[in-house]
Amino acid sequence: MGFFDDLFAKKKEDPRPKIPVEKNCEKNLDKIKEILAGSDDIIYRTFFVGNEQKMKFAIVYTEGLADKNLVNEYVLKNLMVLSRMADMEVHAFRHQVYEVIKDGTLSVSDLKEIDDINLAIDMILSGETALILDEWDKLLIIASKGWPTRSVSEPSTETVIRGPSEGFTETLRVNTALIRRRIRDPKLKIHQMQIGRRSKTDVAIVYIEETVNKDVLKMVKERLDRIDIDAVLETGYIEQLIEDNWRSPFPQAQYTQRPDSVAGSLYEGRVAILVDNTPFALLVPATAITLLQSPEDYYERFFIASAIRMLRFISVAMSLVLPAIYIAITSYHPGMLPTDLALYVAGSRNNVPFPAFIEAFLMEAALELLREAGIRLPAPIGSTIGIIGGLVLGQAAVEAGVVSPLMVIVVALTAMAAYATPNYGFAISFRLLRFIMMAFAAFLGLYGVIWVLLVILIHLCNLKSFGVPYLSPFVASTTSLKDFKDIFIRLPWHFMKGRPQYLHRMDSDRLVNNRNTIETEEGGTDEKK
Amino acid sequence: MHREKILLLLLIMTIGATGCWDKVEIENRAFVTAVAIDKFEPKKDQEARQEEGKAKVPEDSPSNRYIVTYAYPNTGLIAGKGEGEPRFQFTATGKTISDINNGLATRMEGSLFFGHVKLIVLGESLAKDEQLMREVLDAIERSPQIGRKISLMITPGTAEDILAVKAPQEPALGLYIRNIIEQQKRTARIADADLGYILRSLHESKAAVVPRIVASEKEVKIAGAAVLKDYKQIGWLGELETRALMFMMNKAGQANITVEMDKILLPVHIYHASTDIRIEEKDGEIYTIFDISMEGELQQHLFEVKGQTYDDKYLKKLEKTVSKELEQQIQDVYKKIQKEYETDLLQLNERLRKNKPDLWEKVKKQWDEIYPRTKMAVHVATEIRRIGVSR
Repeated sequence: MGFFDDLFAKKKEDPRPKIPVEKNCEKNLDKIKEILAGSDDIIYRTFFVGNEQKMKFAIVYTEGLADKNLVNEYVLKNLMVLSRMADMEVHAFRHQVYEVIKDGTLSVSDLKEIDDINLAIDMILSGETALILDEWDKLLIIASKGWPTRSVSEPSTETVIRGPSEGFTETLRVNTALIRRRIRDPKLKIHQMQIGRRSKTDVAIVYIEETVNKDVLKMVKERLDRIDIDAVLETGYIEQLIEDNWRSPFPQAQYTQRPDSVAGSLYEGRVAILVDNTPFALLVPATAITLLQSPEDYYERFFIASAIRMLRFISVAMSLVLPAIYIAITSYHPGMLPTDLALYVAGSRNNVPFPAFIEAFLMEAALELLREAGIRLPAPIGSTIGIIGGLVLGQAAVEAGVVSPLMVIVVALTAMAAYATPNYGFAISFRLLRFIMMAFAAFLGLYGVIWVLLVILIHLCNLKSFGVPYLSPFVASTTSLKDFKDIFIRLPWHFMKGRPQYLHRMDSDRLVNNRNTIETEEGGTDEKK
Repeated sequence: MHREKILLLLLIMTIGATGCWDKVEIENRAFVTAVAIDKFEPKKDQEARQEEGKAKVPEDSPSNRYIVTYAYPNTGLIAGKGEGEPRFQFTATGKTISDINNGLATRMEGSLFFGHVKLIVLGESLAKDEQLMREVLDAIERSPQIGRKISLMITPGTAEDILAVKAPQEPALGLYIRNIIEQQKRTARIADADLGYILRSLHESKAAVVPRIVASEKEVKIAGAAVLKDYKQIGWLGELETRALMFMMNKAGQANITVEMDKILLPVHIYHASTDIRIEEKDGEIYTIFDISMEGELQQHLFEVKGQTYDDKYLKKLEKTVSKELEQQIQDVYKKIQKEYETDLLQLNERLRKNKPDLWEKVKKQWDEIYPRTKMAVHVATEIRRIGVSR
């Protein structure tokens, strides 16, 4: 925590003092115009209200962010046209005119009164409409946010075969709605705040009050409060500012584009952080196990889900150590291979001009280049790069005798294993460590591989994500055997009656109605529990 | 802080202090798959070598004691991209085996690697020399690279000739031999060639049985066994004798026993046999009792002799005949190793020590004298499970 104290201790006070609203429409408008000078996308409209046209009102909004129809139809029309038709007894209403306008004239659902012009400007810039009334010391803020948004579409990063194909969009409201649709529980809390001195980005902390780990929630709120940055453009900013250990290569928060995966995590007792303008949500605490899970694990039947999960564990191990083991065994321990294989490897490496480490390093670097090039290029060309790099380069390199065919197999296997990891950030950290491991394997052999593995293990044991050990449930003191139902394998749903213990959840009952009673209801066997 | 620094220093030191210093890229290693070790016999050897046109051994020097030959495969050929000879062979002479290895380093491009040795062949003349034999066995046992699961064999001629066999199927001779050894599961005529067993047996009972390997130009034959006593070879066992011995040692995998009954030759294929050895003391005599139970399959009868193989009594009689046959062979071999060679090949001393410690305490001091006087009984129970397809 010391790190955070250092980083956030000097949180600056809001430099702008409060500007009170005056009882003069002109003056207020001038003040707003002065502050927003030079912004040509701000619309100012002054108009007169009432039979006698004596009251001067003004509205201010940002073009493109505010819903023009709403402002025209339900604000301007009501005030300018309909109010004139009303038989207004001026004297009776004189002292109540603002209440009448607020409560009786404006047919919009969300209205706020504020008395600070600076606050009003924040609102205007986020798409609300400010209504300035003559001779009143408050401004009315009409919720009129409405800008073109991308429609809800299939997420590009975590595709599943079975499961919803809805993904988050760049609009926070749409995203919270997508979560709310999956959790119709009054205990689902969406706590909203603004982060960013200049960007004023909306950030929402989402959790289910009865399942959430209170310590984690408190920590999340504290850490978010301490962020003092000019702009937040993506969840990545927040992730890096609130993670426990910035030196660790491992991500300590999980990001996802899928509302179902956020909902699932909330039910497990985790906390989601949503940020406006990005389709990625953060899930904390993240553990090594949660980063290896895919929502599909829970949708598929448990045999398949468990088998695929174990495959994933193997693939992580492979993506980390395979090239290093190749280097270590070919350079130091050929006795560990079966004789036929050892002879074959030796033969296939005949006349290869590089030692195993250089060979492996070249190929792995080429692979990373290929990957990077494929991402940068537009999709149609991206696949061409794959073919050129993968087939042509690999084939040519082997035929030219620069690398051994076995090395190409190892590199290809490693790449496949790395891409099988569900969480991209987690996979990247293993890719980085792979190079370190290769270097150690090159000058210490298998001993070096074990050495690096031990260092990684020690680090992982020490690592925490929001107070929850990263290797939960393997290391946490709160672990119970029950947690292992959903680690290497996923037991059928009717065995998973509890939520994960390592999250210290409160409402532990997940599935009350177990399978036996369902069968009875269906007229099946009357088993006893 | 000071303590942390020291800890860090210690940690870093462990990297340098241990670890793998013997980095040799895999393609630069010579994977020796077979080793032949012969005794150096000065004059005779030189003349013979000249005649046969073999590699010339350096000047006759009084310090030369061994001729060692290493065979390693042309790995490029295995991976399908090299050319040339399928196998390379290097012969060198020297005072000790490690001298020879050092000397060879000056003649080879790769470095010798013994992690994949599959076969060590000893020449008969070497095997009969106790001093040299003990040196060689110790060198083999001491080497951390040489595994315990490899084969040790003895050849009646010179071991070098075995490595010269041009087996067409397999460039790595060691692998070729290993494949033959795998056949041991199918025939009991090959003695157990496992180096681990041989070394252990020599340590515990000063005796062991080592398979015999004989070479012709294009193939090798592994059959029969050499008997080691007091770390040197003292005699041979034939193929059938070896088989009987394997039955006694509970190492017989599969065997064919042919008996003659009513003038019909009846080969019975034994596909499973297990032996129970007990040692009992009765009236001051020590008895070794072999209880062998076997399961077999009748493989041949006579065409158009109907009904006999369905007759239960006939099969019982056949079972008894087969049992008698094996019992007779076992008694003969036991007599040979006990009376003629006076070796404890069956490691009865170990069995006594483990199973009858009280008795062992009494006899252990004069075991060498008591052993030839012990008595034996053998009982074989054969069951013919299948008679094949018959009308």
